[in-house]
Amino acid sequence: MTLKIGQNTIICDSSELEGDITIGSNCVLHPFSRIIAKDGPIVIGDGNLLEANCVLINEKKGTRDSSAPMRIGNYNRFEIGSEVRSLTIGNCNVIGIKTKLERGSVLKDGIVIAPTVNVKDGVQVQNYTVMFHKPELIVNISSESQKEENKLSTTEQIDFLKNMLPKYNNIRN
Amino acid sequence: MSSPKVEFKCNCNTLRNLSGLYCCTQCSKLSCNYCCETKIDSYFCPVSLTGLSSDEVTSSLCKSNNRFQCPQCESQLVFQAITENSSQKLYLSCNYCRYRSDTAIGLTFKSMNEIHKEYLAKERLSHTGNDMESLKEYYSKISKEMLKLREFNSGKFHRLLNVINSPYKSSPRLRKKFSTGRNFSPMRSIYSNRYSQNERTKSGGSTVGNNKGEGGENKDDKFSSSLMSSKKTYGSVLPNSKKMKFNYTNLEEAIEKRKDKITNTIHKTEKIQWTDQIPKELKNKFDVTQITSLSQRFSQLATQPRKLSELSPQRIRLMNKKSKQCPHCQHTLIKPEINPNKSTFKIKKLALMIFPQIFISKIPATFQTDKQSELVISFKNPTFNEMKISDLEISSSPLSDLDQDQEQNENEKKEETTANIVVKGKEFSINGYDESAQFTDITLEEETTQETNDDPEFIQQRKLNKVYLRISITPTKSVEMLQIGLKFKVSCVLQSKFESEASVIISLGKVN
Repeated sequence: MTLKIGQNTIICDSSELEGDITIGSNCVLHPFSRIIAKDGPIVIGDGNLLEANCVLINEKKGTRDSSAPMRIGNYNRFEIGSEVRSLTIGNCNVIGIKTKLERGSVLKDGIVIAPTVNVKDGVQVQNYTVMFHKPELIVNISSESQKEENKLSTTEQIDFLKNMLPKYNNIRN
Repeated sequence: MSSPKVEFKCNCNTLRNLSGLYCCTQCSKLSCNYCCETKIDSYFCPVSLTGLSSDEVTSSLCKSNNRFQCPQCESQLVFQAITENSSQKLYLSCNYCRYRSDTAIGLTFKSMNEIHKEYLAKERLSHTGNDMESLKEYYSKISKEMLKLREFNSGKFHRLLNVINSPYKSSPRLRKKFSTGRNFSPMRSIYSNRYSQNERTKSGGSTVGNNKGEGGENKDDKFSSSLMSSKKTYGSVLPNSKKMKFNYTNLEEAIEKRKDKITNTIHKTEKIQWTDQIPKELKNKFDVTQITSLSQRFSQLATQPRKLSELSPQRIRLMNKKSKQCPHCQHTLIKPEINPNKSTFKIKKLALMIFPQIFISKIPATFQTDKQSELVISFKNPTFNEMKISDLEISSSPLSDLDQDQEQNENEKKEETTANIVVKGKEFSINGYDESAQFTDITLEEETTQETNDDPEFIQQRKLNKVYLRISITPTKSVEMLQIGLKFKVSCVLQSKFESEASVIISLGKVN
């Protein structure tokens, strides 16, 4: 049970943290967000945003599954109610409302996953892709500029939240 | 196995849930969504919720003026600004699938009015352009040909023959010769004509004239002779008789030619043994990620593009508000408010607000043949006044068959009966809906139930505005779906006195 938190991160009091967790600098954790490191440590980079009711779990799928650390890069945004079990996530991604990332899926950089998409086991999502329902799953590959757009939108939101969240919530010291 | 359900019968003999029916208070008849007449009241934009007049609708081709739809996911597009070479420009972007008009097709513009005018000009061209006229010409040719064939098939030719033969009907001798009969069909005569010709060649040059006297033995010969003779004598009267070739062989050829045309355009489908991996030949042919889906193609009907790169943003289509009329007496059944912000109705005559709702409250787990089982049905009164139900009839055969022909069905009835049903009573009343009664004590309710003198074998219990009926069923056959038909009269007081009939079918389940 070790907890390492970087500079200028804001963690609300009603969020749950379990197990070995390291969080980088300039992150924001909303109330009721959960990080649970059951079968291995979770390492989160800088400038990440976890919205309400979103869950990051490092849990074995079966008895045969081996334990491994979960690594998340920089400037990712996990929107409301998203459930993340994949072990490797790159930089500058946006994971939409109520999406599910199963264990064994791999995300790279500059990805947008639209609301209610289920990324299954063994799927490797390439750089700059967009996944959305219509009503079947459609995968598009957009330009490189998407990475910067995602980074801009998350950093803007974090700057706004750093001022607003401490006024209305109890914050962990 | 379908679950048990209760369905009401509409006046157009279709079975529907009570929530899908309207009830006219003037003529007290039920009508469903399909048999009532619809009328469009107003148009409005579904995004900005602004109403449009009829002139505006025609000028804007039934589409929104300043809202655009994403070509990939059909959600709303947003205007966004960028600065290029020290001048501001707008582009359209989707927040859901990250579609951008400037990167996808290079569509940028200065103002919102500019792009709207551009799109209107394009769409008007597609409505009144040269393509439409050429299409019209092409289809008018086809329709003329089809009309000719249809006239020939529908017996217009046959009627023509009758008119010609009419003066000869007065004399019995000639009537025998030229009588075509009711069952005359041109195809049959052509076939018989050919048949008789073949016979004639076999028999060795015997003419039709020889057969005239022996007529009556072979019907086909008779028809053929009449046609041949009419051709001989009255061929000059028929203007198109020579042009229209009635030979069976010619028709066959024509049909085969048509078939060839169709088969050239449409390729036959072939079955592919599907494996986990997509075959390499297909992978090289198509890039699956770059092909549009059907719904994407239908969203822009004028172009119907195949590749994703050819998709372009479209204007959002307008929605409308409809009012419905009774098919029997032309009174309005339902009418919405014109203001698009409101979701209420000016007039609302639903069957749910007048007729009693019927529920199955107790049903045995399995039905077995020659075994008595109890069924409990509840009636719920939606009105505020007391409701009376009379002439209750319950039968085991569904009512739709009973109404058609009573005489025919009397014999079938005995065969069709799948269960013996016993109900002890025909009339009862249901209390009105009372909001205050729901908050009273339970002890008070018990007192009210004691006051009524109901037969406990007919009415199980009463609760507020509900009545529970007892029905005993003994199925005689093993059927996949046991059905019960109810028929009763409803009388209640709305604004004035209201009376009507209703027929209900309850499907219960499988009989072992």
